[in-house]
Formats: sequence, structure tokens, C-alpha cells
Amino acid sequence: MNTTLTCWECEAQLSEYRDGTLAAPSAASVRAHLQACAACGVLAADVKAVSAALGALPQMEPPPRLVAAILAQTAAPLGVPRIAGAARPYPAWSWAGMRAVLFAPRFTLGVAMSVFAVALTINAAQLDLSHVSVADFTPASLAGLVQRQVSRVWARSVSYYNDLRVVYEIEAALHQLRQNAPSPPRSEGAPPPAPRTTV
Amino acid sequence: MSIATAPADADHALIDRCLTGDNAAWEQVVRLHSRRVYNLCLRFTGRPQDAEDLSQEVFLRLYRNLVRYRAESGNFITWLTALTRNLLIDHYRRSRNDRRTDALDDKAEAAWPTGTGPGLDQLVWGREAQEHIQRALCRLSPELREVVILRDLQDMDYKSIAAALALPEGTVKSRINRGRIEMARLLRATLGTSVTTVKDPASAKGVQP
Repeated sequence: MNTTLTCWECEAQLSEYRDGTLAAPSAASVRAHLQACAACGVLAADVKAVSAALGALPQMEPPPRLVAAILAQTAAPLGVPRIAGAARPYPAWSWAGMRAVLFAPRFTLGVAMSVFAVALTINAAQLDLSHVSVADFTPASLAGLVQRQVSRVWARSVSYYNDLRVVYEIEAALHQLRQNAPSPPRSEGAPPPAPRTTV
Repeated sequence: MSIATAPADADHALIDRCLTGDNAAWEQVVRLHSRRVYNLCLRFTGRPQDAEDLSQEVFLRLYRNLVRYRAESGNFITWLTALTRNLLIDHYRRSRNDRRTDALDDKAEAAWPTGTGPGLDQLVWGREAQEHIQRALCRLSPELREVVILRDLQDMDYKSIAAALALPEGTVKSRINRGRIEMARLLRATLGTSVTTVKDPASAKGVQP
């Protein structure tokens, strides 16, 4: 009887023995041990049975909605591939490429916001676009326009400052007048002072 | 299902078509591999809903990483298995409600007959027994569970498993052996005293691999 393996050594090789991946001498040693050792024999049979039972578990069919759900989440709209790094299906400057860009929500929203911003600026500057002609866009016209605007703003600032100064001077004069003037006459509605008793 | 069923060249050609924006090729990839991925997830989690959600996640991640796969250019099945396994382990860590084999109570432990009694090979594996097997599988630690599933259910060889899990081949062999022995221990603890109740000859066809 050939029992050169210990039970522990035999146990460690049971799966390889079952799978047939052991070299011939090792397989012979395991076989000899199994014939001699009842406990290891039962364990070897169990390992074989478990492996067979696992292998016999049926392959389950995934629910049909699984493939549909995956494709729905990965299918690319408008023929634009969403795989990172994937090539575009059309040249960048073709009509299809331009159309894909022009109809992209991001681009449309950007244009709309730009128009809104320009309209807001024109409104705030109180520019009357109905009287604008091409001649107004010559350098000389633009320079004149800028100069007029600057002069107007300057004139307004100076006038505002002067107005402030006049108001201040008037207030200062009034204040001084109040201080120098005698006490104002008593008004009729005021309560009479307490009678002074003279002896 | 064998790992050799999908030739590497065919996979590479399909992936190349996907990368040029060919949606039909992508659909083919999904249809070819969804069953395999779903079964891997189902056996690992034991829950059909989780398996469905995880399978979706696997393919979404695959879709985003096709370019990276093409650059690495390894075996597609191995790569997909590694991707699936990583998601499964992430899911396991998130949920953490799996019961470890260590949690086996003393009573069940006492029911484990060492070297005596009827062997598990005498069982006829019917539908009820399959449920016991799935439950035992889910009670294995994830390290043992994944290698047992890949070896015995997905029919991958040691070398491919080692490549997919980025482990030494010796570790894979050792884990498969420990996993099977642990499964036998769990099944004996569960079925040992009532072996006859799980016999179901009507559905016993195709038991042997």
C-alpha cells in the first residue's frame, strides 16, 4: 500500500486531482492515498460531487428587458457615437456635421443668450437702432460718437457737482442766519408760561 | 459555456467596428455576452434583480472603456470577466449582507460527519438541491465564491482565472480547492440529515458535467 502523502497533503490536491491537472506521479500518489484512507476518499467524492453539481446548475436566460435597457442607455442619438474616442461617422465640415452642431442644444442656447445680452446692452445705452446707417460705422463717425458721449457725461458730472455746491452754500447761509437771528416770536397755540409771582 | 466559444480575433474585429461608431456591432457585443455576464452576476449575488442591475452597470462601463480595452488588446472574455468581477466585489462591499461561512452555527457544524455517512455524490441534484447549492455558494467568502463560479460554472481554466483576477495560479488552485471543500461542508451541514428529501429524479437529467 502506497501512502506516502499525509491527509493534509492529499486534501490540498483534491481539486487538481478531480480536474485532471496533476502530473502523473502526483495523481498516482493521491489515488493511492484515497484508496487507503476512507475519510479522504469521502472528501474526494464530495469535492467531485460539488464540482459536478455546480457545473450542472442551469445557465439562466437574462430577462429580455436587460439587453433593451443596455442598448437604450448606450445607443447614440443622431448617429453621433458616444463611445469615448470613437471616430465621427462624417467629416467635421460636411453638411451633416454642420447640421449636427447647429442643432445641438448647447449651441442654440448659446446663440439665444448672446442675442439677449446684446439686446439688453442696446436698451440700457438707449441707442435708437432705427436711425443707424452704414455711414455711422466709419472710424470718424465712431470717434465723434464716442467723443460726444464722453463730453455729455462730463458735462452732466460737472453740472451735478455745481448743483451740489449751490445747495450746500444755500444751506450754510440759512444755518448762519438762524444762529444770528433773535429768538422767534411765540406762536399762538403754545401754552402760556407759568405766571411769575413778584413781590 | 466555454471561454473558447468566442475567438479573440472575432472579438477584436467587433470591438474595432464599435469604435468606428457601428451601433449594430455594439448590439452584437451586448447580445453575445449579456447571458454570460448575467449568469456570473446571478450566481455571485443569488438575486435576479441585483444580477440585472449589475449586468447593466457592467455593459455601461464596458461601453465607456472600449478604447482602453483595445489599447491593452488582451483576451476579451478575460477582460470582461475582470470588469464584472470588480463590480461584483464593489457591490459586495457596499451591501455587506452576505453571510460568511464562518457564521455557520455550532449545531450545523456538529452535523458535519467526517468520513462517514452517505456521500454527496449519491445525491440526485434536482431543483430543490439547486437552490441549496445556490444558497451555499452565497455563503462562501467572496474570494472563494468567485473562483468556484469561474471554474465550475463558467468553465474557465486556472490560467484564465488567474489572469482575470490578477492572482498567481497557485493561489487560484488553492482557493478553488478550499471553495469546493467548503461547499461540501456547507451542503452536508444543510442536507446531511435529510438527503432523501432533495432527491428529484424527474429533473435529474444533465447532472454530470
